[in-house]
Amino acid sequence: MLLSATSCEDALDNNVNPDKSSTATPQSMLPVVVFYASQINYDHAEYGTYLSNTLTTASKSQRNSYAYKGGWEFLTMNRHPQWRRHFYDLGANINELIDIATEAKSYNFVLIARSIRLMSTQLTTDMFGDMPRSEAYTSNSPKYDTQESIYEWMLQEADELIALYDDASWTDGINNIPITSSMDRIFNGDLAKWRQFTCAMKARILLRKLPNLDNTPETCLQIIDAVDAALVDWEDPRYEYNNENATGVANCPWGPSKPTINSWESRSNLLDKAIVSKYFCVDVMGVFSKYSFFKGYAEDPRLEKLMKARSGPATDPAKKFRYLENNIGMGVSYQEKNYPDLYESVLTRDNSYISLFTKEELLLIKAEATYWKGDKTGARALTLEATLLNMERLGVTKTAWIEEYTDGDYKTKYFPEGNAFTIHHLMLQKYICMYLQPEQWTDMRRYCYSNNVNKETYDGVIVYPTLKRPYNLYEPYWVVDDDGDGAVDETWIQRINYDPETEEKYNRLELERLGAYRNADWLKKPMIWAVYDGQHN
Amino acid sequence: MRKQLLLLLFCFSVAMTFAQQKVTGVVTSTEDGLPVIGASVQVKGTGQGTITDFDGKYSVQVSPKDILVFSYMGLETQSIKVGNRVTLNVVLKSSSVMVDEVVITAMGMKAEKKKLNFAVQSLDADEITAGESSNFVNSLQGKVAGLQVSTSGGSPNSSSPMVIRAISSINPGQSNEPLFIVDGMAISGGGTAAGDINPNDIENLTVLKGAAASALYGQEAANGVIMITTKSGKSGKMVVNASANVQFENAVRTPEIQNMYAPGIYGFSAPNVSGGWGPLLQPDEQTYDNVDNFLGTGLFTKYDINMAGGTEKFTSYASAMYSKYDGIVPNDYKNRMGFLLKSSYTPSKWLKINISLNSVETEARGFGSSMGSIYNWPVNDDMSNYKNNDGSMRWLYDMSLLDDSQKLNTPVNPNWGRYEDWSETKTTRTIVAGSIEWKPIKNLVLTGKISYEKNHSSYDSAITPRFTETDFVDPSKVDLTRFGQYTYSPSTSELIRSQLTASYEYKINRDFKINALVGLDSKEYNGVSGRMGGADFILPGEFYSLNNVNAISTDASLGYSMYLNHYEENKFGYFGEIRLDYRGIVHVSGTYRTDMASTFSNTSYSYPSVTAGVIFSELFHLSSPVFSYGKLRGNFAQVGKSGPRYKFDRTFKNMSAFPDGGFGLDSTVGASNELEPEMTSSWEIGADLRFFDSRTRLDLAYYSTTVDNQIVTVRVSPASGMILQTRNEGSIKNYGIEAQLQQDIFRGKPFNWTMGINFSLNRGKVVDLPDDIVEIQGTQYGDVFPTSYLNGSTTALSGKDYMRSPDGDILCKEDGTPMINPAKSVLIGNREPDFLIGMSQKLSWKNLSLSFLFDGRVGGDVINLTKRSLISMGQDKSLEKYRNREVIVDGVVEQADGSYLPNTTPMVLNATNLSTYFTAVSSNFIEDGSYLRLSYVTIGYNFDKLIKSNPYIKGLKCSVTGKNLFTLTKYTGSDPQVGTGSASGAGGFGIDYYQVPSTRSFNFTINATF
Repeated sequence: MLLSATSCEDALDNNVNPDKSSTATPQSMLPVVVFYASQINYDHAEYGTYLSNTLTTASKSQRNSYAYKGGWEFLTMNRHPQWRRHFYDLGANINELIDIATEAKSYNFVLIARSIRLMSTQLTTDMFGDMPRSEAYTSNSPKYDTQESIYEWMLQEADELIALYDDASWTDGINNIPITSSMDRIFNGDLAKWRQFTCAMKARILLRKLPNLDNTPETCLQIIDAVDAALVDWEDPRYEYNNENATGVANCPWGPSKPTINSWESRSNLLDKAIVSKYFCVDVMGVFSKYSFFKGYAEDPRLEKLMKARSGPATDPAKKFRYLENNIGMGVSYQEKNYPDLYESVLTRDNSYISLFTKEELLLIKAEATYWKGDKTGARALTLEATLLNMERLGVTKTAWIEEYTDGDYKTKYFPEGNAFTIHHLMLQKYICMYLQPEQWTDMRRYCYSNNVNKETYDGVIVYPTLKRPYNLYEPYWVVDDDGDGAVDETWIQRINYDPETEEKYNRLELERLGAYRNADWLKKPMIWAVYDGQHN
Repeated sequence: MRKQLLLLLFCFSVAMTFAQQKVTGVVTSTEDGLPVIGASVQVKGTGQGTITDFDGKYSVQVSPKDILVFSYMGLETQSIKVGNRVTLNVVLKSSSVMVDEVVITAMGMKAEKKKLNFAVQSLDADEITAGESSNFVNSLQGKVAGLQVSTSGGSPNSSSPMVIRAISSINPGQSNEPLFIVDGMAISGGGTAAGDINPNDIENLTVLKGAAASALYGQEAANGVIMITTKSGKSGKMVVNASANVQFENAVRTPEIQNMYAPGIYGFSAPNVSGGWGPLLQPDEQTYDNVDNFLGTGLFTKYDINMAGGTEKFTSYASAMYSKYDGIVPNDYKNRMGFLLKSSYTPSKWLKINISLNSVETEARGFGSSMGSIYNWPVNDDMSNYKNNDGSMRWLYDMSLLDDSQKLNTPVNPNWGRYEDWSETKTTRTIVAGSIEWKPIKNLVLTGKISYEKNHSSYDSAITPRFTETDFVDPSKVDLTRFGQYTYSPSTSELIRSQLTASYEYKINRDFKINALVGLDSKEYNGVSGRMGGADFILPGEFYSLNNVNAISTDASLGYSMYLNHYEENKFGYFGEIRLDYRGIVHVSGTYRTDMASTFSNTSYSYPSVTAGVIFSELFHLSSPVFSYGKLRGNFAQVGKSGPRYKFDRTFKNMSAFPDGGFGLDSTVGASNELEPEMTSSWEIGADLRFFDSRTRLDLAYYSTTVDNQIVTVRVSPASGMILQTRNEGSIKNYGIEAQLQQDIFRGKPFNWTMGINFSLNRGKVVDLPDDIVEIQGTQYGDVFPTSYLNGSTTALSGKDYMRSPDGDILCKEDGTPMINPAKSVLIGNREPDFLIGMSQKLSWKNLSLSFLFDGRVGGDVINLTKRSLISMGQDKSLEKYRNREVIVDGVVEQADGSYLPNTTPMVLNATNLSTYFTAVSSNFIEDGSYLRLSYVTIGYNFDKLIKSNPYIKGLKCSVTGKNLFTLTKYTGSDPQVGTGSASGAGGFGIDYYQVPSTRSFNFTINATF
C-alpha cells in the first residue's frame, strides 16, 4: 500500500495504448492517402451514376436506404462517404503527412499530398457547395467558406502547385525520401506526372466557368491552354487494383467483390442490384430491340463493353439489354439478374483501376471550350478523338461498328458536321465517356439538366432532350406546387445534404445561416456554376 | 374566617413538609457502566424533576408515594416508586426499541440506520431470495425505491443492467451502473456480472443511493453503490444448509404471427422471399406455428450447500453451488458452479484476520436478440424441418433456381444454427480477498484490505459450412465464412485493489462523540483480449478446429480476422471522513476525497460531502403512542467520475487491408487530453417517520443531482479533423422523490402480516450542451436513437414522425395519405417513467408463509421495433384484419385558408402504403410502457415442528414460487420492461428489438438445515 502510494504518479502516467502507434512516417502514410484518392473518386461516381440517371434499382420506393438511388429523400440520410473522405480520410491524413514530410524536408510527399487535396476539395465542393476550408480543423464548428472562395483558392492552389512542381528545390531536394511504387501506385513518385495531373485539375476548375458563368473567348482560351499544358506527356493517373489474391478493399471498389472499408466506411457498389436506365440504354446508347449479328446490340458499340445482356424470366427468356425508367420499379416476375450484368466491363472487375482523371475528359474539356469559343469543327474533332479513345479504353475492336457509329449511318445522329454539331452531341459523348466518373453528374448539373420539359437551352439546343426525372420521387420534397398554380415544378436535385448526424448537430448555426438546416429546398439550390440565366441559349 | 384560612394553609404546608424527602443517586448505563450525564429524572405526573450532572448524580425532593421516571436517549426508561428510599441508584439498559436497523455503509462500516443522513435501503437474505429468481439482480426490481433493472429478454444469458435513481452520463461510452462492493471491496462489472453471485451466500444487501452515501468510494461510485455482505461463520456448532431448486418456464406474450398469407411481394406469389406479403393461403394449405415450435420449456435447477461454524477465535463459512439453466430457445443455456470460502481468525482482541476465496465458473451459449429470423419465417413452411435426409441443410428456397448472390441471401434456418453450429463461452471469475483489522490502542482501528479478481473467458465457436464451392458459379467472390468459420476469443482481466483505513472514535463526553476515518485506496486494472480464427474449412464435416481452416487474416474488415488488444488502467484515491454525534440525536458528518486516474492528464480532483440529521422526536420529546419516531436529514455531496482510457493521443492504425497497407489515423480515437472528470453535485433531504409503536415506517427523500462535464464520445464533423471525439460536453440534472412505506398490519403470533410499498419518480433533463448542440444520440436502431435533448429528457427517443398541425394532428394530403416529416431525429418518445412502484406483502401463519410482489410503472415509452419489423415483413397478426382494408388516417387536411379539416379520405393499407406511410414512421411504434406485474408469489411451509425430534435435521422448509404470473399493460410487445441490455449513456431500456420473449415460471425449492 505504501509502495502504491509513493509510486502512484508513475502508475497513473499510463494512458498510452500499447497496441497502437502514435507516430507515422511519410513512407507509411502516402499509400493510405493515395488509396483514399482513388476511393473518393469512386465515392462521388457511385452517387453520380444514379443521380445522372445512368443506373437505377428495382425499387420504386420514395424512401430508399440510399436516397440517391431512388426518391431523393436525402434529409434523413447521413454519413455520406464523400464528406468524411475529404475532411478526414484524406484531409486529416494529408495534414499529418504534410507535417511530418515538411519536418523531414521531404517535399516530394508534400506536393503529391497537396495535389490530391486539391482534387478532393474540388470533388467535395461540387457535391456540397459551401463547406469549411479556411477554418477546417481549427474547431468542431468551423465556418463554411463560400463555394466562390473555395474555387478561388483552388485556382490559386493549382497555380502555386504547378510552380512548385517546376521548382527543383522541391522536386529534387536532397532530403526528399524516394517514393516507391508501393507508396504511390499511381505514378511511382514521378512528380512530372503528378504535375500534369495538377494541370488537368486546373483545366477542370476553369471549365466550371462554362457555360453559365463566363464563356468568353478569353476564358475558353484559358481552358484550352490548361488542357494543352496537361496533355504534354499525359498519362492517366490510374490506381490499379492488380494485387493477386486480393481480398476486401484491395479489390477495385467497382468490382464484384463489392468491397467496403471497414464494413461501413464506404458504400458497396451493389452493381448486382443496379439496373441500367432507359435513358442511358435507349436514349444515349441506342439499344436495338433485338440483337443483330451485323450491328450488335446497340448503335453505340460501347454498350456491350460496359455491360452484358442477360436472359429474362421464363416468360421473357431472350437475352437482351433490359432497362427500367429510373425508380419506376421492377415487374414482379423479373429479378435483377434479368437485367444487364454491369460487372462485365473493364471498369468493373476486381482487378480494374480507378482513374483520377482520364484523357477523354481532358479532350472533352478542350472540345467544350473550343465549342464555346465558336469552333464547332474543332470541337467535333476533339469529341471524336475522345470517343475513339474511350472505345479503345473499353475494348471496342470491331472497326465496322466504330465507323458505323462515327462516320456511317449514325454519323448525323452523333457526329454531324459543321453547324449541325451542337453542344448536345458533345455532352452526349462526354456523358458516355464519364461513365462511372464523378464528372458525369457534374456536367449534367452544369447544363441544368437541360431537357424537353424544362426547355432550358444552350446555344439554342436542349442538351439532354429525353432526360426525365425519376418516377416516384419523395413527395414532400419533389412533388410540390411551389408556385401555387396547380402545376408541380420539375425541380432537379443539385446538391447533397450536409450530414444530419454531424453537421446538423455541431454546426447547426452555420447550416441555418446558409439555409441548409433540415431544408429540402437546399437540395434544389444550384452550384455557383450551375445557375441558369438564359444568356447562352 | 381569615385566621381559619391561614391555619388551614399552615397545616397543609406542614403536612407537605413532613411528606417530602430528598432522594439522591447516580444513574449509570449497562452499555458501558459509566455515569449517564444529562439523564432526565422526573416526578411522574408533576412536571417536577432534574437532570443528572457530569458524574451522573442527581438530587430531587419527592414524597414516598411519588414515582421517579429515569430516561435518556438510547436507554430504556425506568419508573421507580420512591417509598422510603433516600438513595436511589439506577442502571439504565440499552433501549431495545431504539436500537435501529443496522446497515452496512461506506467502507464496510456497520452503522445504525438512524445515524445515517442519506437514503439507504437494506435487504436481508430472505428479501433477496424472495421470488427465487435464477438471477437475484433481476428480482431487485420493485424491492428498492429508485432502482431500475431492465432485462434483455427471457434468455438465461440476458443481461441485467441496473440504474439507481437515474442515469448520470449521457455518453454511450460511460456506464451508469452502480459500483458493487462485496464484503467491503469493489468488484468489476455491473448488474449482469453481479448476477453471478450466489444469492444464497448473501446475508445482506444495502443500496447507497445518493452521492453523499457513496462519496467515500469516489470516482467509481458516482452511480451509487450496492453493498453486498456475504454470510460468515459463527462460533458454535457447525450448521449445514442444503437446498435444491427446480424451475420450469415458458414464453409469455410472444408476438402473434399472421396465419392468412403466404410469402410473396405485393400480394403476389414470388419465389425466394420470406415474410408474408404474398397471396392468401390456399384453403387446404398447411401452416405451422413456427414460433411456438421453436420455443420450448425452459428448465432451471440449482443445488446449494453451505456450512458455517467455528470457535471463539476461528470461524468459517463454505458454500458450493451448481446450477443448470436451459432457456426456452434451443441450446440457449447457462450453467454455473461456484464456491465460496470465508474464514476469520481473531488471535487476540486487538487483531482480526479475514480471508475469502470466491470462484464462479460459467458455461453458456446465448441467443442474443435474434428472434427476427423466427418471426419472419413463412407460415406455410415447417421451420422445424431443417435438415434433409442426407444430413444437409434444407433450404427455404429452391437453390437450383438462384444465382450466386441470391443463394448468399437465402435465410439460414434458425434451427440449423442452434443444433448444427456450436459455440460456448466459458468464464471463470475468481476473487481472493484478505483483510486485517488491528486495534493498537483503544478506539483506533487500522484496517488493510487487498483483493485480487481475475476474470477469464473464452468464446469458442464453429459455424458449419453453409455452402461448398461447387454451389457457386464464381466461388472466388463468396465471403469465405460461408464455407465455415472457426473462432476462439480468449480474454483475461485482472483487478487488484488495495485499501488502507484508520478509524478512531473519541468520546468528548457523554453527549458528544467524534468518529474519524482516513484512508487511501488504489486500483490496477489490466487485461488482454484477442481473437484467433479462420474461415473455409478444409475438411468440412470432419472436425471443426483452427487446424482445419484455409484462411486466416489480420484484415480487420474481415469477420474472421485476428487481433490482440492490451489495456491497463490505474486509479488512486485518498479520503477522510469525520462524524459528530450528539447524544445519538444529532449527527453531522463530512467527507473529502481526492482521486487520480490514469485516464486524465490532470493530476487529481477532489470533492467534499457534508451531511446532517436530527432525530427531532427525541430532541423535542415528541414521542407518543401515535408518533414513535421522527428524523430529518439532509446532505450535499460531490463525486467525480472518471473517463475512458487511451484518449490522450491520436493514433495511427495499420491499414493492412489496403492494397499497399500503410498507417493512417485511427478514426475511433480522437485526442482528448483536456478531459476532466464528470462531476456530480447532489443535495438531498429526507425524513424517517414511524408511527404506532413503529408499526408504520415511512421514509421519504427528495434529491436533486446535477452532473457537469459530461464525458461524451460524439461523432463530430470530420471538418474538425476527427470522426469520434471524446470530450466534456454539457450538464444533466436529475431530481426526484422516493418513498418507502413499511406497515406491520398484524404483528404477533401466530399471524404476521407486513406490507411494503416503494415509490419513486425521477425527472432527468439535459440543462447544458456546448457549441449550440441540441441533442446527443446513442446507439442507432434504424432511424431510432436513444437521445438526450437539450432542455429535454435525458432518455428520450428520436426518429421519424408525421408532419403535424399546430394542434399536433397528423397532416394528411387530399388523397388521405399522411405527410411524413422530412426531418430526421424528431422527438418521438420519452422512456422516463412517470413513477415506479413496488408493493410487497409478507404473511405468515404458524408455519405457513405467503409473500408476493407487485411491481409496476406508470409512463415511460417503449418503442416496439419488433412489431415494426413484423409489419414490414407482412407477418404481424394485425395484418389479418387490416391488410388491404381501407382506413381513414386520424389526421387533418390543411385548407387553402390555412385552417384544418378532419381527413375523411380513406387509404388502402397495402404493402406499399404500409411501407411508405406507416412502418417508415417510427413514432407509430411508440407505446405506453405502463404496467403492473405480479412479479412473484411464494408459498412456503416450515416443517421444523414436524421434525423436532429428528436428530439429523434441524430445519426443513419448502416453497413454491410463481413468477411473472400476470402483467397488466397496454403494451403490445412481450414485456414493457424490455431493454437492449445496456445501461450506458441514454441506455437501451425501452427498446424492443427482437429479444427472446419474457417467461413465466414456476419454481419449487426445498431447504434443509442440519
